[in-house]
Amino acid sequence: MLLNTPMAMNYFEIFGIPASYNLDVSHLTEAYLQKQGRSHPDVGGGASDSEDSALLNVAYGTLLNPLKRAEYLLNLDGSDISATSSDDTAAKIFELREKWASLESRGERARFCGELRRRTSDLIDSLGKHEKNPEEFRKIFCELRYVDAFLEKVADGDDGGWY
Amino acid sequence: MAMTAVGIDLGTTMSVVSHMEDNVPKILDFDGKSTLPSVVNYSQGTPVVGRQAIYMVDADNTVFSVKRSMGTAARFFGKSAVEVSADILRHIKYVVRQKLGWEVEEAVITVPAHFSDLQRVATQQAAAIANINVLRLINEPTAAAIAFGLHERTNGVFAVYDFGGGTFDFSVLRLADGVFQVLATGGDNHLGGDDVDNEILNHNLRAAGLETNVMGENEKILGKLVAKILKEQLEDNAEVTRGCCLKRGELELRLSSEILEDIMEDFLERTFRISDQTLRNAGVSAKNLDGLVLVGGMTKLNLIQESLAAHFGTKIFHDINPEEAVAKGAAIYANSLLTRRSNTDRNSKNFAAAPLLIDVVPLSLGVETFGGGVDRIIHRNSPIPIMERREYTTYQNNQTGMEFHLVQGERPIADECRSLARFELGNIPPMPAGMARVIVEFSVNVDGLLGVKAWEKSADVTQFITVSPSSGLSGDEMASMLETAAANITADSLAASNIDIKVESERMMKFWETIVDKIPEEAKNIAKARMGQLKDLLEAEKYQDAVAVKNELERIFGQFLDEIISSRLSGENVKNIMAR
Ligand SMILES: Nc1ncnc2c1ncn2[C@@H]1O[C@H](COP(=O)(O)OP(=O)(O)OP(=O)(O)O)[C@@H](O)[C@H]1O
Ligand SMILES: [Mg+2]
Repeated sequence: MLLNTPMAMNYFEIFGIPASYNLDVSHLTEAYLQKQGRSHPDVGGGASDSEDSALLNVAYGTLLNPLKRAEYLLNLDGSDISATSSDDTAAKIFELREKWASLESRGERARFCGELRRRTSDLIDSLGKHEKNPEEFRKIFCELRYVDAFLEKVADGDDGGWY
Repeated sequence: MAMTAVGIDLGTTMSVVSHMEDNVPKILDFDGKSTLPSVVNYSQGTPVVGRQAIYMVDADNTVFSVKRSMGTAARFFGKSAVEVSADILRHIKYVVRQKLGWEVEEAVITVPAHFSDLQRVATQQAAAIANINVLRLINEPTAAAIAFGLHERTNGVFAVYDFGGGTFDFSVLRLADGVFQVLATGGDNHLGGDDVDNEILNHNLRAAGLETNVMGENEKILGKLVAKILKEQLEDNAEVTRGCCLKRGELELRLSSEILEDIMEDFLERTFRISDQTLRNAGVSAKNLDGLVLVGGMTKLNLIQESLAAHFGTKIFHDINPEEAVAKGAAIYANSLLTRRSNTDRNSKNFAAAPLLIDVVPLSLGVETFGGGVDRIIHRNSPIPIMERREYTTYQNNQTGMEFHLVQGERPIADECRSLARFELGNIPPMPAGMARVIVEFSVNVDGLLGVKAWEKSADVTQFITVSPSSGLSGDEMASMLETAAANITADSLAASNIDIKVESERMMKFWETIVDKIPEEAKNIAKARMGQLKDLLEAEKYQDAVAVKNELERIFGQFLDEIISSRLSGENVKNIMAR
């Protein structure tokens, strides 16, 4: 998800950190808070400041989230990840949905979500291990993306109380 | 004159007001108490707000918990929820004018973190009608965290558990050297002490072999007030009982620790589900929290504190007052905004010392897709301010318009999310399907309010919309109310305060005369003497002295007012009033 406004620096450069999937999150946050401390509307105001602050938030949000960070890196590399894998993703989500629909009790559903969440964190870890292997990195990314999309769309949406 | 920083916690059941004095947040006194019940009675010419409104025991003309209706089309005696809230805010302004001698012109107002865009807009409108410029809308748990963080002078990751009268919020924050960074927030706008009171009442009706629907709406309101009193009195007793008057006769309401525990189990379970999910969204596990901060009147219940300790297994902080923390945090942040506004030198000491708040979007924002699904454009828990764009295209040849339906919520189906607004982008130049490039830009500002822009790239048709409530007040109504409000600025101002003092004192005297015989002997003698004094001072037109005596009387009666209201609610007086 590339930011739509033209700009010279990529998100990693904004925070002065190396463009790598394996980043030091506390380092990122420190840099983010420091920058935000200078460009947040509450400390300066002004329209351009506000845009600046919004850009920092988008950049930080992208790099903080492992899935978005991986996607951003793939985009930076020029890999076309949206077109090639989307049909596959839809099919995989469909599969998960079928499985979900077959589960009857709340407990079963919760267990299934638990499994998927564990799978998610395994995938996030293995992305880190395969950063140097573009083919594998992409494959893991695609699986992570559909599991994540499923969890967000179906499981969380079903949780109730989230108006 | 330097503006005084004011924070207003406009609560479902109680409102609290704080202002900064020598860099310390002070709590405004109402009837000798720190809270103003958010209750308005409309039986008189002017709205009666607060404890007096409850004392009138006049459910037919009284609005309770109006906050729950913010952003909806509900009407109360012809007034919208926005206008009723404005009446509460006007009363607050009035009390500040009387007690502190200045005018509230600007304030930070708090809202539940889980308030939707419509509810936020409605809150801003209420302030505008009451002639208050909103410096910032901030989320209640965040405000509490500010009060807590500055009190403790600590860094770390904390969670705020806010169980109030109408809403439940749970927020996870990082505190780092004066920066308050919200990591994630979750909640339920219909989970609060009000619902617990309702269950207590229903439990008693069932126990008496009655259907839960035997009571009319207004009877039920009074019954819930009695249930509320029982709940609040339970802490020192194993069991409490009070009468409650139904049209068909008296029903004794009973509450024991066991019953309450039973009722609370379900509510607590819901708060835990939300808390756990929010911690997950923040990427924090409960055992890594540096502490849990309790906010909201419901957290005063011992049984809640015990279950929380068991569920989270982390340090629980009690040292801030759960009812006052939100308003204090709001005042502190108002002060920080005003300091920076009047002090543009970024290197100055004051500038750097003021806290900075980075909050998040509580509920995802998106547009309805062709099949009735939702395309989420800004995801919940994104830090604000934020801006995101999406590109859409036409699906028919020569299509010249495109309709957008803006929705908010986490459900995958548009119909199950909250509908914010609809708008159409017209004047798209005719071209084959799929060729047009329509950009939709969502931005959420620091108040958490959404603005949407849309344009077609080749034609440069720009449409800018700010979401306005699709229900509630119409644009025309709002405009005329703002006009009236502007015209009233001078009437509201200090110049008129002598008349205010006279009118208000006389009204209070009437009220006190009806209750003075119900207070203990010693206090009664003092009160009667002071009331005589007040009468003389008013006659002599010594208004400043009159205010001092009036404030003292408020304190005297304040000590007994809650008890008087309680016994009146469950006593025989009620019957007469309800039979009327
Ligand atoms: N001592 C007490 N014991 C039990 N419950 C209490 C006590 N004091 C207050 N409450 C309950 O707390 C609730 C009010 O809490 P609070 O004042 O924090 O809510 P609010 O700010 O009005 O609502 P909200 O924040 O949801 O808009 C009421 O349901 C009230 O009965
Ligand atoms: Mg509250």
